[in-house]
Amino acid sequence: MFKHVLAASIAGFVAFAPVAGEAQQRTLTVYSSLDEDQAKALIKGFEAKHPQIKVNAILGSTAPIIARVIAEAASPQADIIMGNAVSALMAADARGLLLPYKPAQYDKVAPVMRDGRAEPVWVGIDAWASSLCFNTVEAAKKNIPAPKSWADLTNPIYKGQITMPSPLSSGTALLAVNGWLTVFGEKGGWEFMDKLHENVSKYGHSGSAPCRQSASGESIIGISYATPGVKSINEGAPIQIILPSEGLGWEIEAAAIVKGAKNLADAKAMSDWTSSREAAEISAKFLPITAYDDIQSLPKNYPADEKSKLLKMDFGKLAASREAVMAEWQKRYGVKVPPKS
Amino acid sequence: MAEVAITAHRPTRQIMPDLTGKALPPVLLLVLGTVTVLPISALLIRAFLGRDGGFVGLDNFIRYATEPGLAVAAWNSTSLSAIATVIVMALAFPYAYALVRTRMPGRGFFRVMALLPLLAPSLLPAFGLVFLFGNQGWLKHWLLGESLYGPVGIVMASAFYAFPHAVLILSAGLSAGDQRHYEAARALKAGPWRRFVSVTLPSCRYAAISAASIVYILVFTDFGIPSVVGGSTNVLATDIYKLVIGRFDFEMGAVVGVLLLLPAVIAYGIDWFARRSQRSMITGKSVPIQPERLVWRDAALLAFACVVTCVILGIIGMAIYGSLVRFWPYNLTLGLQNYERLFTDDDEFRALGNSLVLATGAALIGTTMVALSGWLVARKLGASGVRNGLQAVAMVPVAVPGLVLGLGYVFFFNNPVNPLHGLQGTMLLIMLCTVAHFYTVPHLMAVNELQRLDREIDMAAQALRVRPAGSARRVFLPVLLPTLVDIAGYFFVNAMTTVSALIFLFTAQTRVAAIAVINLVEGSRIGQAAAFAVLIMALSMVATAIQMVLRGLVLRSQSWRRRTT
Repeated sequence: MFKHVLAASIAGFVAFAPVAGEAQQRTLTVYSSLDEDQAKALIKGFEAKHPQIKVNAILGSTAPIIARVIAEAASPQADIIMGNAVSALMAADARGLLLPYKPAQYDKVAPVMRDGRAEPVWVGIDAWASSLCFNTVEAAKKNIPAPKSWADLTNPIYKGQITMPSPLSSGTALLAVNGWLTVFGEKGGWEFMDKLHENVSKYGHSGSAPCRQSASGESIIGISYATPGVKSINEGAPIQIILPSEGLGWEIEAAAIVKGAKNLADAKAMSDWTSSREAAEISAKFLPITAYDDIQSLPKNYPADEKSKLLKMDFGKLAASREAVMAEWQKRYGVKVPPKS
Repeated sequence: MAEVAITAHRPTRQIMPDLTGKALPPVLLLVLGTVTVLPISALLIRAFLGRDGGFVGLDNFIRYATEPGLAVAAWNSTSLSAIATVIVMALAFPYAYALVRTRMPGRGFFRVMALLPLLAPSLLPAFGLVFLFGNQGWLKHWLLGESLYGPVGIVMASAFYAFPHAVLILSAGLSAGDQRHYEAARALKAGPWRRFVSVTLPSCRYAAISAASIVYILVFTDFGIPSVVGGSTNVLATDIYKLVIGRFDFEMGAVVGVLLLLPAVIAYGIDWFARRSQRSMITGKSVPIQPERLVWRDAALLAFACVVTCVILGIIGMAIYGSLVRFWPYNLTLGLQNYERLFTDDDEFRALGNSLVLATGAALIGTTMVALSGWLVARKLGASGVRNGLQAVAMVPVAVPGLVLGLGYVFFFNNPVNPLHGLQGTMLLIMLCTVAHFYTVPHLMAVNELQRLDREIDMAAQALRVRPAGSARRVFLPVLLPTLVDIAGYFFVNAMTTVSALIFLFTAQTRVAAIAVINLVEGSRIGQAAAFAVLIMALSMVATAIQMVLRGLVLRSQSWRRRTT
């Protein structure tokens, strides 16, 4: 019996061997935290343009991908990071792990989606913004009205009905927090969060989980971002994506070449590709905000006015205050057990 | 080993020092250390270093101690692990006892049921619990108004997750004993209860201590459960995630990693004492246990086993149901749409194949290493320092969260200075990491099994000038064989479901199914994630069925296990 298993596994090894052995094809190792379908579509587009390059993609969540890049510093395995939060990329950049490169179409990219430094390290692919997922069925059962603004969320009627990720482990939470600090100011922002804390039933680790919990009725409101909500709606969840009236904290997902990349020339080709208009047209099928301002798109069930509600944010300042914001959050909300629902 | 045994026929055997006894323990210690302690240290050493790599003494510990929330997290970890351990032991002991010491009907079936939680990726029971006891759960009112998300959920899910580990260790510990003790007790007019208390309990004390320590450590270090059903209850294991993944603060993460090792250090101390006081339970004259039929006892245990099995099946069944509905809980139309994509997407299909390769490799490598380390430790071969070192090294992995192990592997193997750097990115490295991750429980199973054999056997072997390798082949290997089959199964099913260590190690070519499940969850394809998890479980079930058959064949072929007189 065991021999069969052994034989099957050897057959398995053999079956995979040709992938590595194919002659003349170069390989490029790409780390990505983009939406899986979007990443695959972008890679497909790249491979069509560069048939001699085979992309080996490693897809994962924002933070674990960067943690991996930092851990691999002694001998970098990735050639390029194709899509990760700029704030997380900055953490890798601060450790000297990224290589500045100005892609061919850099000047055509919308100014806000560019690094801005003379030797740019990253170039934007798309952006995502914080939003609310609101379960209409459960809300109706409990007679709870839909919130319209961030300030509404501090209403005692929402006590125990809100989940959000913890900014200590989720980039999505951090952009929400940064948004509040922008809207309400430093002092007002923390006062808002103090009140919000009274209503939050759970701080989780994943940025998309609050929306999924709202979609499955585990909570009524999830502070998250639009994409998981859109997917849940497309699958039949009775939720509404609400973009609060004060405006939305947001962040850019960007590409950056890893210093020490083994296939630098091909990594540059990938950087050129991801910042091209063609690539932006692919990304536009998944998110409305891409590197080219004039591409108009709205994926099915995606909220229409996201772009117009984006706050004006100082990303440089936010990247610098990242650690301080986390420490303050931990001090205020990391200790106290939140109220029971 | 077989080659070494053949040399026993050469005339030089009296002069030549015994190779197996002298060379094998240090070599094995080196190999085991290289895949466990060295990579783990590569990360944990950072607890004493600054971000620039300079030595800073205990500064990081002091910095961590002043972090708000530490005391709460430490208390939650300590107390919830203790509660879960008590619950698991109270359930697992009678269950294991029923499996190997009674003539309760359906023992084979109940053995598989106990292992079921091992076969499912941790996501499945999490889904199952949410579907049953979450805010939309069918049995929500059973919690009497308590929320699943918090201590209640952590204890329930942890008990579910740790139960099979405890049953495995306890049933290995209980399965051998000496029938003559029971006959003597009976001759002395000791009733069934008296026989249980004065013969059975002392004979499995060591296994019970091992099982309880393992359960405690497993719960103490697990990250997955508190992150799904923990609500806002902070535990140390989630702290490490926040520090390492959220803040890229490897130094502080390492501090928590060191703290998480503490229970394991204590467990090692307890284990060391227990082993010293453990006397051999099987002597050369031992007679295998032949459980007697006690109708009332067997019936009571059958009822108990049925209840436990129903709970396990309920949780897993609910998750399977969740994978079949269109959209939980709003559209309960049944269908296979969630399974369709898995069969049309090449990447997902290849991930399943990779999982089988990984699981098979981990089972082969792991079982071989465990057979050797268990034998050396249990039969006291080689220098005592090396032996104690082996036991200590084998106890480490269970106390290390997968996250620490995985990052440690990257730091250690992905370093051009390391001669083993070539392993980076290979399936072999992932296999070794998986073996290391799950090493402790199988090692304890093997030690438990072999420790019960009398020293007389070694002495007889010495008198007959049979080298240790020879007695291993002729005596210990056959005794251990059924347990080795279980151990191979244990490595296999764990390798099918493990995620945490691998997220830092997998490549496009070695992406396994459990990683694919995580990707699906992150992409908000919950139904498909559940479906994929069910597929993984189904494959593990096939493997377990093979394991059962194999175990049966081994037991049947070993006629010496049956009493002939």
